[in-house]
Amino acid sequence: MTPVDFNFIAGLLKDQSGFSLTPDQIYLLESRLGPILRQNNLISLEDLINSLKLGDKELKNAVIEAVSINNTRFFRNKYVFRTIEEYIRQTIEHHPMLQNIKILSAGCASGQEPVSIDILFKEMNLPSNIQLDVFALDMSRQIIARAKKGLYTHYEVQKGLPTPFLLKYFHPAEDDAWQVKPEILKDIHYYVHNLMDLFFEDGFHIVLCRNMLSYMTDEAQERAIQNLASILEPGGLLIVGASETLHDHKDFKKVPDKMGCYRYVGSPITPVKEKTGAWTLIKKPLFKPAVPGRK
Amino acid sequence: MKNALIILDSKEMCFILQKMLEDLGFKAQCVDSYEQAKSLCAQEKPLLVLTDININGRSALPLIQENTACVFVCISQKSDPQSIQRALEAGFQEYIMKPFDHDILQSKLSIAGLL
Repeated sequence: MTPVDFNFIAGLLKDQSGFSLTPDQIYLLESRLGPILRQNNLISLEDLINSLKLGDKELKNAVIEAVSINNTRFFRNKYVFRTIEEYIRQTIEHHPMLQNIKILSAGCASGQEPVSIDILFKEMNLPSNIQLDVFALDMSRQIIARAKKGLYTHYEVQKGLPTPFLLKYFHPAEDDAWQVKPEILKDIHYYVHNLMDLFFEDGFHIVLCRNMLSYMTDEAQERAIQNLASILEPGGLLIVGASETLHDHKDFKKVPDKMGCYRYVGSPITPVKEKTGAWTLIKKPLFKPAVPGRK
Repeated sequence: MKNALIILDSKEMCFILQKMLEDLGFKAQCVDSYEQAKSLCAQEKPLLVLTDININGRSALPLIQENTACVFVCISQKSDPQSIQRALEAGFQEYIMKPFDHDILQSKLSIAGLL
């Protein structure tokens, strides 16, 4: 791949999703674009780039999806799940009337993170009137379609998932695969969504956005953080990757001794749909209680 | 280094596992019979024992019961829920379905609290 080709694809990715690629990731581009060439009967990378320049929208989406897919596993980084459990227990203790916990998994890939969150919640044995809703977003239509099926390969279910949970929450499917049981899948709402845009649902107690920000440009990071802040409950948690930081973002306060964990301390804001159909941010009333069942 | 014992009748598989375990900080010995396994468990008191639920036609259950300080991880070709359930009930802490890779072994040992 020539530097010119690399710059073209990297520029496309940056414009559309805010992700930035560095020249040492040429190998990543080459390995991920190969299948797209074959699927679209394109002979060479030059061919692909020419089609993109001519404005082939389907092809553009396929390239963005292919390059931005991340690896994931069940219960990735156990400390994160301990933090989520602690926070849910504290929130319930402080809001005895709370009946609905809302968690967002941004960049959920094939769904291991939201499934792990739901298993964790079920294993917490909370009173049955407390429900969990997990919203899970990824910009790849292909990966969201896969996540919705809840099917995982023999290899995937053996990475991070304790065997007792495999037996309890999955059943064997065809071709050595395992499928998540409906009792888990019903709690998870999957959406194709780009973090550069506002998300329509708000009132989240916890938002996870792990190992995404570090691939974004500074401007894209700021925009993604603002969009995620707008859907967090006041005092809610934003959990990013262990090696990621929000620096000294004015609306977030680092939670001591919790890697990648930030509490939202900014003005309560919320996304609202205008008459034109566009989404905008407005300030929420102050002292809005974290109440239950709000959708 | 932590001690591990591999009880498998495939020499090739034993060799591969030995290398994988070495990378993860274990010194592993391989045996292929129940008697050898029993005697090595008593002498070496390994932290980890990797074996199928049956060793040359004999159940691994008595070995697990005699060595409660060891962590037993099952490695098996069987992937049906009933076989996995039986292994957990017998006292295996984790279960690895074949085929597997280094990442899976590492993940299972981590879940079993050994890494």
